[in-house]
Amino acid sequence: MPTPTYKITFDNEQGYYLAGNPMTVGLWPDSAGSARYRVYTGVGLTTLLFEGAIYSPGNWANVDISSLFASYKNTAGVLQAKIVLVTDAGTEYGSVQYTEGFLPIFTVFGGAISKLLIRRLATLEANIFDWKLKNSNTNFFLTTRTNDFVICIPENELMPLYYYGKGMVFTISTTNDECKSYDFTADADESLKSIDFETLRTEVAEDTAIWINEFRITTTDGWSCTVLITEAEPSDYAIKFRNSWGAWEKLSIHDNARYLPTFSESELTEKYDAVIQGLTTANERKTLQNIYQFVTSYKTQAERMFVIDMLLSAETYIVANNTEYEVIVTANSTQLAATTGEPMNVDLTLTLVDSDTVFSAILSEIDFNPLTTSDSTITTDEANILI
Amino acid sequence: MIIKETTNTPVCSPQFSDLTEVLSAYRTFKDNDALQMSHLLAFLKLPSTERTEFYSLFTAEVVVISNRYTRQTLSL
Repeated sequence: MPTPTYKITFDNEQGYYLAGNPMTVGLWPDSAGSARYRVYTGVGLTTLLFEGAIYSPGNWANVDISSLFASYKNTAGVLQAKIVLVTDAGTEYGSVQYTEGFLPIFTVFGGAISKLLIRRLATLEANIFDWKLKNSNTNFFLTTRTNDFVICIPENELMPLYYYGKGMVFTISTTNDECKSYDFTADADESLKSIDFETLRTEVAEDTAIWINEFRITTTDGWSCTVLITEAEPSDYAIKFRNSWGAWEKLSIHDNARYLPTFSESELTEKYDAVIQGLTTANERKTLQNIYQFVTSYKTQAERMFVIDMLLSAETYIVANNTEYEVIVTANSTQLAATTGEPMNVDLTLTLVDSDTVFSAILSEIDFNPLTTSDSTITTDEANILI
Repeated sequence: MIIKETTNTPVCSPQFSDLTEVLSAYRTFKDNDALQMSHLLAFLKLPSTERTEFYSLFTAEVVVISNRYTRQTLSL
């Protein structure tokens, strides 16, 4: 094979990669068939992250460097890195090895897409950056609620929506008027941005005395997507989790939880008893695992697909009493797979990661203060099963 | 009468085109003339049975947008 113009190739023209998916870089070997390379990160791209070599005489050597960036796959964010070819003696070939205008710099974004989507995009000869993440003309937000043009978020599940800013330009409009414009076309560096639609809704209300729950995002080419805040049922609890893009999402759950404390078997040991001058059985404290059964709020079939991402997440918390407790969540998969058109609840089982060998009674803020109300207004503790 | 989501077509949470009118209705509803816009916004922000009761005082204008979702705007 003749020597190519470029001695390093990336998966796409921009050198964009997702940290949680394969990150294949093509390296052209030297005359001896070896491609020795270095990967740099950090300020000025001068911190050596890895040095390696691959043997592929006369043909492209493809290396998957995703393991170097594995720690970024669960968190939304962005990192620049550089890969250079070096001689066997360890000297960098330098920019002369790269065709003018080509920089061996690539960008790593947090998160990942499914293998099913990778196959689909490969069939279409497309990539997720052109189709979604770096495309102002579509739903470019780091939400796994939907890739559709209409993003429905129940009002008690509102969290800031994240996106990658560089090069993006778009406008947010209410039903009648433009309310905010964004233009990041002059940005030199990639960065993670967010829009808090709850704050934006309040700003619009204070400035124009209208209450809006529908935000249309447009570009000069047309309609990109609409963020629709939908009405929810009252709920004091929610599950907060990192989605597959590494961004935070929230799912409300109903209050009527069922508490299922689960106890470990007693671990019996022996101890010496001075009275009988012999060994007796000694009891140890048991371990308590706190398990709760909830149901999600009313979910359409499309929204139930979003529950799947929550179940896959490595970081899930139940938000209760303004406190976050890490949990492991499981669900009845037959409810997720249901094909009925009617919205329905999904049963969830939450196991707190904190197991305990001690018990503490409920302690609320009111217990810190002396009682100032009359005796008649004092009520007994409710059996609040969640902490 | 406001509408709620009963099918797979999403319904926008109620919108208001004139919050000054709504604030007046809210003061009457709560029987408290001292209530300010900030109190109303906090009330509208999160679901409650009281808010549902308040919504029922209004009439909903419902528009289906591009067969994708339903917008509802409340007025007295």
